[in-house]
Amino acid sequence: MKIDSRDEADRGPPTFEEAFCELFEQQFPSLFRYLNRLTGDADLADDLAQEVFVRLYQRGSLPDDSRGWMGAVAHNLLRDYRRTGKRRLRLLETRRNAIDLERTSPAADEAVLRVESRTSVRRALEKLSERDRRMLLLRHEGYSYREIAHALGVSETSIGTFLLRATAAFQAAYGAADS
Amino acid sequence: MSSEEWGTAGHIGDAEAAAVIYAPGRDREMETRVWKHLAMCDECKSRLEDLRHADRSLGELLTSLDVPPRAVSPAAIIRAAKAPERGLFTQPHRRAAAGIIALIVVASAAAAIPGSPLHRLIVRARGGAAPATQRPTPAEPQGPPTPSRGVSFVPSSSLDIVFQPRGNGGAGVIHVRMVGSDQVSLSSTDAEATYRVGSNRITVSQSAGNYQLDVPRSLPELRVLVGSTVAFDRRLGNPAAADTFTIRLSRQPANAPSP
Repeated sequence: MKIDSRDEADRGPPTFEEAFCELFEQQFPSLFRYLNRLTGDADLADDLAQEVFVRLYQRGSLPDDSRGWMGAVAHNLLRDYRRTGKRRLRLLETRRNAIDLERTSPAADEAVLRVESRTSVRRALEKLSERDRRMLLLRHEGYSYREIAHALGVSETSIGTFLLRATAAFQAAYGAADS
Repeated sequence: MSSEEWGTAGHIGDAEAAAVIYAPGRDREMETRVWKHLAMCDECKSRLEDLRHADRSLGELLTSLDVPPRAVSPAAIIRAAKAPERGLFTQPHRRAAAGIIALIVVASAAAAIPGSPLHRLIVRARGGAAPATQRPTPAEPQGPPTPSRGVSFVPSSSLDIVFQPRGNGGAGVIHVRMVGSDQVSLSSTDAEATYRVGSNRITVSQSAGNYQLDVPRSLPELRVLVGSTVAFDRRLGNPAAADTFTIRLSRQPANAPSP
Protein backbone atom coordinates (compact mmCIF):
# COMPACT_ATOMS: atom_id res chain seq x y z
CA MET A 1 0.00 0.00 0.00
CA LYS A 2 2.82 2.34 0.83
CA ILE A 3 4.40 1.71 -2.54
CA ASP A 4 1.08 2.41 -4.26
CA SER A 5 0.68 5.65 -2.34
CA ARG A 6 4.14 6.78 -3.29
CA ASP A 7 3.49 5.92 -6.94
CA GLU A 8 0.31 7.94 -6.79
CA ALA A 9 2.14 10.87 -5.27
CA ASP A 10 5.00 10.62 -7.77
CA ARG A 11 2.60 10.75 -10.65
CA GLY A 12 1.95 14.45 -10.08
CA PRO A 13 -0.92 16.47 -11.44
CA PRO A 14 -2.80 15.02 -14.40
CA THR A 15 -1.75 16.04 -17.86
CA PHE A 16 -4.08 18.07 -20.03
CA GLU A 17 -5.09 14.97 -21.96
CA GLU A 18 -5.87 13.05 -18.78
CA ALA A 19 -7.92 15.95 -17.41
CA PHE A 20 -9.67 16.30 -20.76
CA CYS A 21 -10.59 12.60 -20.87
CA GLU A 22 -11.91 12.76 -17.32
CA LEU A 23 -13.99 15.82 -18.09
CA PHE A 24 -15.30 14.17 -21.24
CA GLU A 25 -16.43 11.10 -19.35
CA GLN A 26 -18.12 13.26 -16.73
CA GLN A 27 -19.71 15.90 -18.89
CA PHE A 28 -20.34 14.58 -22.39
CA PRO A 29 -23.59 12.75 -21.51
CA SER A 30 -24.90 15.81 -19.69
CA LEU A 31 -24.01 18.18 -22.51
CA PHE A 32 -25.55 15.87 -25.08
CA ARG A 33 -28.71 15.51 -23.00
CA TYR A 34 -29.00 19.27 -22.62
CA LEU A 35 -28.56 19.86 -26.35
CA ASN A 36 -30.95 17.08 -27.26
CA ARG A 37 -33.61 18.56 -24.99
CA LEU A 38 -32.92 22.01 -26.35
CA THR A 39 -32.99 21.14 -30.07
CA GLY A 40 -35.16 18.05 -30.20
CA ASP A 41 -32.64 16.59 -32.64
CA ALA A 42 -30.44 13.84 -31.22
CA ASP A 43 -28.08 13.74 -34.20
CA LEU A 44 -27.56 17.48 -34.09
CA ALA A 45 -27.06 17.30 -30.31
CA ASP A 46 -24.45 14.58 -30.79
CA ASP A 47 -22.60 16.60 -33.38
CA LEU A 48 -22.72 19.78 -31.34
CA ALA A 49 -21.57 18.09 -28.15
CA GLN A 50 -18.68 16.42 -29.97
CA GLU A 51 -17.69 19.68 -31.60
CA VAL A 52 -17.70 21.42 -28.22
CA PHE A 53 -15.20 18.87 -26.92
CA VAL A 54 -13.13 19.14 -30.08
CA ARG A 55 -12.95 22.90 -29.49
CA LEU A 56 -12.12 22.33 -25.86
CA TYR A 57 -9.23 20.03 -26.76
CA GLN A 58 -7.97 22.45 -29.39
CA ARG A 59 -8.03 25.17 -26.73
CA GLY A 60 -5.13 23.38 -25.09
CA SER A 61 -6.20 23.96 -21.49
CA LEU A 62 -9.32 23.56 -19.41
CA PRO A 63 -11.16 26.77 -18.56
CA ASP A 64 -11.84 27.58 -14.92
CA ASP A 65 -15.56 27.24 -15.47
CA SER A 66 -15.58 24.31 -17.85
CA ARG A 67 -19.32 23.76 -17.90
CA GLY A 68 -20.14 27.42 -18.37
CA TRP A 69 -17.56 27.58 -21.17
CA MET A 70 -18.96 24.49 -22.87
CA GLY A 71 -22.50 25.82 -22.60
CA ALA A 72 -21.49 29.11 -24.20
CA VAL A 73 -19.60 27.35 -27.01
CA ALA A 74 -22.52 25.00 -27.61
CA HIS A 75 -24.88 27.95 -27.94
CA ASN A 76 -22.55 29.65 -30.40
CA LEU A 77 -22.30 26.50 -32.49
CA LEU A 78 -26.04 26.07 -32.44
CA ARG A 79 -26.55 29.68 -33.46
CA ASP A 80 -24.09 29.23 -36.35
CA TYR A 81 -25.82 26.05 -37.41
CA ARG A 82 -29.21 27.72 -37.40
CA ARG A 83 -27.86 30.66 -39.36
CA THR A 84 -25.98 28.75 -42.04
CA GLY A 85 -27.75 25.42 -42.00
CA LYS A 86 -24.35 23.77 -42.10
CA ARG A 87 -22.77 21.41 -39.69
CA ARG A 88 -19.04 21.78 -39.72
CA LEU A 89 -18.97 18.86 -37.42
CA ARG A 90 -17.48 15.49 -37.17
CA LEU A 91 -19.60 12.40 -37.17
CA LEU A 92 -17.20 10.26 -35.24
CA GLU A 93 -19.45 7.33 -34.56
CA THR A 94 -22.77 6.53 -36.09
CA ARG A 95 -23.57 3.50 -34.04
CA ARG A 96 -25.92 4.04 -31.19
CA ASN A 97 -25.44 1.67 -28.32
CA ALA A 98 -27.64 -1.19 -27.29
CA ILE A 99 -29.49 0.82 -24.64
CA ASP A 100 -30.81 3.03 -27.40
CA LEU A 101 -32.36 0.09 -29.18
CA GLU A 102 -33.87 -1.12 -25.94
CA ARG A 103 -35.32 2.28 -25.15
CA THR A 104 -36.74 2.82 -28.56
CA SER A 105 -38.50 -0.57 -28.59
CA PRO A 106 -40.91 -0.49 -25.64
CA ALA A 107 -44.30 -2.11 -25.61
CA ALA A 108 -46.78 -0.51 -27.98
CA ASP A 109 -49.01 1.23 -25.42
CA GLU A 110 -46.03 2.43 -23.46
CA ALA A 111 -44.53 3.76 -26.65
CA VAL A 112 -47.68 5.71 -27.47
CA LEU A 113 -47.76 7.33 -24.02
CA ARG A 114 -44.11 8.14 -24.25
CA VAL A 115 -44.52 9.80 -27.60
CA GLU A 116 -47.52 11.81 -26.36
CA SER A 117 -45.70 12.97 -23.26
CA ARG A 118 -42.65 13.86 -25.28
CA THR A 119 -44.74 15.86 -27.72
CA SER A 120 -46.46 17.80 -24.93
CA VAL A 121 -43.19 18.61 -23.21
CA ARG A 122 -41.62 19.62 -26.49
CA ARG A 123 -44.53 21.92 -27.32
CA ALA A 124 -44.44 23.52 -23.87
CA LEU A 125 -40.70 24.14 -24.17
CA GLU A 126 -41.14 25.67 -27.59
CA LYS A 127 -43.56 28.21 -26.13
CA LEU A 128 -40.89 29.55 -23.82
CA SER A 129 -38.44 32.21 -24.82
CA GLU A 130 -35.02 30.94 -25.91
CA ARG A 131 -33.47 32.33 -22.73
CA ASP A 132 -36.04 30.73 -20.43
CA ARG A 133 -35.79 27.41 -22.24
CA ARG A 134 -32.02 27.33 -21.99
CA MET A 135 -32.07 28.44 -18.40
CA LEU A 136 -34.49 25.74 -17.32
CA LEU A 137 -32.66 23.03 -19.19
CA LEU A 138 -29.28 24.06 -17.84
CA ARG A 139 -30.69 24.16 -14.35
CA HIS A 140 -32.00 20.62 -14.77
CA GLU A 141 -28.56 19.50 -15.86
CA GLY A 142 -27.32 20.67 -12.47
CA TYR A 143 -25.66 23.87 -13.64
CA SER A 144 -25.00 26.37 -10.87
CA TYR A 145 -26.09 30.00 -11.03
CA ARG A 146 -22.56 30.94 -11.98
CA GLU A 147 -22.38 28.37 -14.77
CA ILE A 148 -25.78 29.36 -16.11
CA ALA A 149 -24.79 33.02 -16.05
CA HIS A 150 -21.56 32.20 -17.94
CA ALA A 151 -23.28 30.00 -20.50
CA LEU A 152 -26.08 32.49 -21.21
CA GLY A 153 -24.21 35.72 -20.66
CA VAL A 154 -26.65 37.05 -18.06
CA SER A 155 -26.20 38.44 -14.56
CA GLU A 156 -25.78 35.81 -11.88
CA THR A 157 -27.97 37.73 -9.42
CA SER A 158 -31.01 37.52 -11.69
CA ILE A 159 -30.83 33.77 -12.35
CA GLY A 160 -33.04 32.69 -9.44
CA THR A 161 -35.89 35.00 -10.34
CA PHE A 162 -35.65 34.07 -14.01
CA LEU A 163 -35.78 30.39 -13.11
CA LEU A 164 -38.91 30.76 -11.03
CA ARG A 165 -40.67 32.65 -13.80
CA ALA A 166 -39.51 30.22 -16.47
CA THR A 167 -40.77 27.29 -14.42
CA ALA A 168 -44.14 28.96 -14.00
CA ALA A 169 -44.25 29.70 -17.73
CA PHE A 170 -43.49 26.05 -18.51
CA GLN A 171 -46.21 24.85 -16.16
CA ALA A 172 -48.72 27.11 -17.84
CA ALA A 173 -47.62 26.05 -21.32
CA TYR A 174 -47.57 22.35 -20.41
CA GLY A 175 -51.00 22.57 -18.79
CA ALA A 176 -52.35 24.16 -21.96
CA ALA A 177 -50.66 21.61 -24.18
CA ASP A 178 -51.77 18.69 -22.00
CA SER A 179 -55.37 19.84 -21.92
CA MET B 1 -29.88 40.09 3.75
CA SER B 2 -31.67 43.32 4.46
CA SER B 3 -35.36 43.52 5.19
CA GLU B 4 -35.86 45.26 1.81
CA GLU B 5 -34.83 42.07 0.05
CA TRP B 6 -37.76 40.18 1.45
CA GLY B 7 -40.91 39.96 -0.57
CA THR B 8 -44.05 41.94 0.07
CA ALA B 9 -45.90 41.77 3.39
CA GLY B 10 -42.88 40.29 5.10
CA HIS B 11 -42.90 37.05 3.12
CA ILE B 12 -39.96 35.56 1.28
CA GLY B 13 -39.35 36.91 -2.24
CA ASP B 14 -38.67 35.10 -5.53
CA ALA B 15 -34.90 35.38 -5.24
CA GLU B 16 -34.89 33.84 -1.76
CA ALA B 17 -37.30 31.08 -2.69
CA ALA B 18 -35.28 30.30 -5.80
CA ALA B 19 -32.04 30.28 -3.85
CA VAL B 20 -33.41 27.73 -1.40
CA ILE B 21 -34.75 25.51 -4.17
CA TYR B 22 -32.19 25.86 -6.94
CA ALA B 23 -28.97 26.80 -5.17
CA PRO B 24 -28.92 25.33 -1.67
CA GLY B 25 -25.69 26.00 0.17
CA ARG B 26 -24.83 29.04 -1.88
CA ASP B 27 -25.76 31.57 0.81
CA ARG B 28 -26.09 29.78 4.15
CA GLU B 29 -26.88 32.91 6.14
CA MET B 30 -29.80 33.82 3.94
CA GLU B 31 -31.06 30.24 3.93
CA THR B 32 -31.07 30.21 7.74
CA ARG B 33 -33.23 33.30 7.80
CA VAL B 34 -35.58 31.78 5.21
CA TRP B 35 -35.98 28.59 7.21
CA LYS B 36 -36.69 30.61 10.35
CA HIS B 37 -39.36 32.49 8.48
CA LEU B 38 -40.87 29.32 7.05
CA ALA B 39 -41.15 27.89 10.55
CA MET B 40 -43.52 30.74 11.36
CA CYS B 41 -45.25 31.33 8.01
CA ASP B 42 -47.49 28.63 6.56
CA GLU B 43 -48.18 30.71 3.47
CA CYS B 44 -44.52 30.86 2.46
CA LYS B 45 -44.04 27.23 3.44
CA SER B 46 -46.86 26.19 1.17
CA ARG B 47 -45.59 28.34 -1.65
CA LEU B 48 -42.14 26.85 -1.35
CA GLU B 49 -43.57 23.34 -1.45
CA ASP B 50 -45.45 24.20 -4.63
CA LEU B 51 -42.31 25.54 -6.21
CA ARG B 52 -40.37 22.42 -5.27
CA HIS B 53 -43.08 20.24 -6.70
CA ALA B 54 -43.13 22.20 -9.94
CA ASP B 55 -39.34 21.86 -10.18
CA ARG B 56 -39.45 18.10 -9.59
CA SER B 57 -42.28 17.64 -12.08
CA LEU B 58 -40.41 19.56 -14.71
CA GLY B 59 -37.32 17.44 -14.12
CA GLU B 60 -39.33 14.25 -14.58
CA LEU B 61 -41.07 15.52 -17.69
CA LEU B 62 -37.79 16.48 -19.28
CA THR B 63 -36.51 12.90 -18.97
CA SER B 64 -39.16 11.87 -21.51
CA LEU B 65 -37.12 13.70 -24.12
CA ASP B 66 -33.93 11.83 -23.40
CA VAL B 67 -32.16 9.38 -25.67
CA PRO B 68 -28.66 8.02 -25.17
CA PRO B 69 -25.82 9.64 -27.05
CA ARG B 70 -23.68 7.90 -29.61
CA ALA B 71 -20.88 5.82 -28.20
CA VAL B 72 -17.94 8.17 -28.60
CA SER B 73 -14.61 7.83 -26.87
CA PRO B 74 -12.46 10.77 -25.79
CA ALA B 75 -9.71 9.28 -27.96
CA ALA B 76 -11.93 9.73 -31.01
CA ILE B 77 -12.55 13.35 -30.04
CA ILE B 78 -8.82 13.92 -29.65
CA ARG B 79 -8.14 12.37 -33.04
CA ALA B 80 -10.78 14.61 -34.60
CA ALA B 81 -9.31 17.66 -32.86
CA LYS B 82 -5.85 16.87 -34.17
CA ALA B 83 -6.99 16.04 -37.70
CA PRO B 84 -6.84 18.80 -40.29
CA GLU B 85 -10.06 20.36 -41.45
CA ARG B 86 -12.04 18.30 -43.87
CA GLY B 87 -12.34 19.44 -47.43
CA LEU B 88 -9.62 19.89 -49.99
CA PHE B 89 -8.95 23.58 -49.55
CA THR B 90 -10.34 24.57 -46.20
CA GLN B 91 -7.24 25.75 -44.38
CA PRO B 92 -5.61 29.06 -45.31
CA HIS B 93 -2.28 27.60 -46.41
CA ARG B 94 -4.04 25.04 -48.56
CA ARG B 95 -6.12 27.74 -50.17
CA ALA B 96 -2.94 29.72 -50.85
CA ALA B 97 -1.30 26.66 -52.41
CA ALA B 98 -4.35 26.12 -54.58
CA GLY B 99 -4.20 29.74 -55.71
CA ILE B 100 -0.52 29.46 -56.61
CA ILE B 101 -1.11 26.25 -58.54
CA ALA B 102 -4.00 27.85 -60.42
CA LEU B 103 -1.83 30.87 -61.21
CA ILE B 104 0.96 28.66 -62.55
CA VAL B 105 -1.46 26.73 -64.73
CA VAL B 106 -2.97 29.90 -66.16
CA ALA B 107 0.45 31.47 -66.74
CA SER B 108 1.73 28.33 -68.45
CA ALA B 109 -1.29 28.26 -70.70
CA ALA B 110 -0.87 31.93 -71.54
CA ALA B 111 2.84 31.48 -72.26
CA ALA B 112 2.08 28.57 -74.58
CA ILE B 113 -0.28 30.62 -76.74
CA PRO B 114 1.71 32.14 -79.61
CA GLY B 115 1.19 35.85 -79.90
CA SER B 116 0.06 36.27 -76.30
CA PRO B 117 1.69 39.11 -74.36
CA LEU B 118 3.28 36.66 -71.95
CA HIS B 119 4.68 34.59 -74.79
CA ARG B 120 6.21 37.70 -76.36
CA LEU B 121 7.63 38.74 -73.03
CA ILE B 122 9.29 35.37 -72.55
CA VAL B 123 10.70 35.37 -76.08
CA ARG B 124 12.04 38.88 -75.55
CA ALA B 125 13.58 37.89 -72.23
CA ARG B 126 15.33 34.98 -73.90
CA GLY B 127 17.13 37.34 -76.24
CA GLY B 128 15.00 37.37 -79.35
CA ALA B 129 12.44 39.80 -80.56
CA ALA B 130 8.83 38.91 -79.98
CA PRO B 131 7.11 37.39 -82.96
CA ALA B 132 4.49 39.52 -84.55
CA THR B 133 2.55 36.48 -85.56
CA GLN B 134 2.93 32.75 -85.73
CA ARG B 135 2.46 30.15 -88.37
CA PRO B 136 0.12 28.98 -89.69
CA THR B 137 -1.50 32.23 -90.67
CA PRO B 138 -2.86 33.58 -93.92
CA ALA B 139 -0.20 34.03 -96.61
CA GLU B 140 -1.25 37.55 -97.38
CA PRO B 141 -0.18 40.45 -95.22
CA GLN B 142 -2.71 41.21 -92.56
CA GLY B 143 -3.48 43.91 -90.09
CA PRO B 144 -3.16 47.64 -90.55
CA PRO B 145 0.31 48.80 -91.52
CA THR B 146 2.11 50.75 -88.84
CA PRO B 147 5.20 52.89 -89.22
CA SER B 148 8.04 51.49 -87.20
CA ARG B 149 11.76 50.78 -87.19
CA GLY B 150 11.33 47.07 -87.66
CA VAL B 151 9.42 43.88 -87.29
CA SER B 152 10.08 40.35 -86.10
CA PHE B 153 8.14 37.15 -86.54
CA VAL B 154 8.44 33.43 -87.09
CA PRO B 155 7.99 32.66 -90.79
CA SER B 156 6.68 29.50 -92.39
CA SER B 157 8.80 27.48 -94.81
CA SER B 158 9.78 30.37 -97.08
CA LEU B 159 9.87 34.11 -96.89
CA ASP B 160 9.23 36.90 -99.37
CA ILE B 161 10.21 40.41 -98.47
CA VAL B 162 8.54 42.86 -100.78
CA PHE B 163 9.70 46.48 -100.88
CA GLN B 164 7.20 48.84 -102.43
CA PRO B 165 9.23 51.81 -103.67
CA ARG B 166 7.92 55.33 -103.38
CA GLY B 167 8.49 57.52 -106.45
CA ASN B 168 11.74 56.48 -108.07
CA GLY B 169 12.49 54.20 -105.22
CA GLY B 170 16.02 55.22 -104.38
CA ALA B 171 18.86 52.88 -103.53
CA GLY B 172 18.55 50.77 -100.47
CA VAL B 173 20.66 48.04 -98.94
CA ILE B 174 19.77 45.05 -96.81
CA HIS B 175 22.46 43.70 -94.51
CA VAL B 176 21.60 40.07 -94.02
CA ARG B 177 22.77 38.03 -91.05
CA MET B 178 22.09 34.35 -90.58
CA VAL B 179 21.04 33.58 -86.99
CA GLY B 180 20.32 30.52 -84.93
CA SER B 181 16.89 31.57 -83.69
CA ASP B 182 13.68 30.70 -85.50
CA GLN B 183 12.45 34.17 -86.17
CA VAL B 184 13.00 36.73 -88.85
CA SER B 185 13.84 40.24 -87.82
CA LEU B 186 13.83 43.14 -90.28
CA SER B 187 14.57 46.67 -89.21
CA SER B 188 15.53 49.93 -90.78
CA THR B 189 18.70 51.44 -89.43
CA ASP B 190 18.15 54.94 -90.77
CA ALA B 191 14.56 55.33 -91.97
CA GLU B 192 11.12 54.67 -90.68
CA ALA B 193 9.14 52.35 -92.90
CA THR B 194 5.74 50.71 -92.76
CA TYR B 195 5.65 46.91 -92.40
CA ARG B 196 2.87 44.46 -93.02
CA VAL B 197 3.51 40.93 -91.93
CA GLY B 198 2.04 37.66 -93.21
CA SER B 199 3.01 34.08 -92.52
CA ASN B 200 5.60 34.06 -95.29
CA ARG B 201 5.74 37.63 -96.44
CA ILE B 202 6.83 41.04 -95.21
CA THR B 203 5.68 44.03 -97.21
CA VAL B 204 7.70 47.19 -96.67
CA SER B 205 6.40 50.50 -98.00
CA GLN B 206 9.86 51.92 -98.53
CA SER B 207 12.87 50.74 -100.44
CA ALA B 208 15.36 53.49 -99.73
CA GLY B 209 17.64 53.35 -96.74
CA ASN B 210 19.58 50.67 -94.98
CA TYR B 211 17.96 47.61 -93.48
CA GLN B 212 19.18 44.91 -91.15
CA LEU B 213 17.68 41.49 -91.78
CA ASP B 214 18.21 38.54 -89.44
CA VAL B 215 17.22 35.27 -91.05
CA PRO B 216 17.02 31.86 -89.36
CA ARG B 217 19.52 29.39 -90.71
CA SER B 218 16.69 26.90 -90.84
CA LEU B 219 14.67 28.98 -93.29
CA PRO B 220 14.71 27.07 -96.63
CA GLU B 221 14.18 29.96 -98.99
CA LEU B 222 14.36 33.74 -99.07
CA ARG B 223 13.22 36.09 -101.81
CA VAL B 224 13.56 39.85 -101.85
CA LEU B 225 11.45 41.80 -104.29
CA VAL B 226 11.41 45.49 -105.16
CA GLY B 227 7.94 45.99 -106.49
CA SER B 228 7.46 43.02 -108.77
CA THR B 229 11.15 42.71 -109.52
CA VAL B 230 13.03 39.95 -107.78
CA ALA B 231 16.14 41.51 -106.22
CA PHE B 232 17.31 38.34 -104.55
CA ASP B 233 16.31 34.71 -104.69
CA ARG B 234 18.36 32.07 -103.03
CA ARG B 235 17.97 28.81 -101.20
CA LEU B 236 19.41 29.56 -97.84
CA GLY B 237 19.51 25.91 -96.86
CA ASN B 238 22.69 25.70 -98.91
CA PRO B 239 25.46 25.13 -96.39
CA ALA B 240 27.72 27.26 -98.54
CA ALA B 241 25.67 30.36 -97.80
CA ALA B 242 27.66 33.00 -95.96
CA ASP B 243 26.72 34.11 -92.47
CA THR B 244 26.44 37.72 -93.55
CA PHE B 245 25.89 39.39 -96.90
CA THR B 246 24.16 42.37 -98.40
CA ILE B 247 21.37 42.75 -100.91
CA ARG B 248 21.03 45.91 -102.95
CA LEU B 249 17.49 47.09 -103.47
CA SER B 250 16.99 48.11 -107.06
CA ARG B 251 14.61 47.31 -109.87
CA GLN B 252 17.43 45.52 -111.69
CA PRO B 253 17.29 41.79 -111.10
CA ALA B 254 20.27 40.66 -109.09
CA ASN B 255 20.68 37.09 -108.12
CA ALA B 256 23.78 37.11 -106.07
CA PRO B 257 24.54 38.80 -102.80
CA SER B 258 27.34 41.25 -102.50
CA PRO B 259 30.17 40.01 -100.32
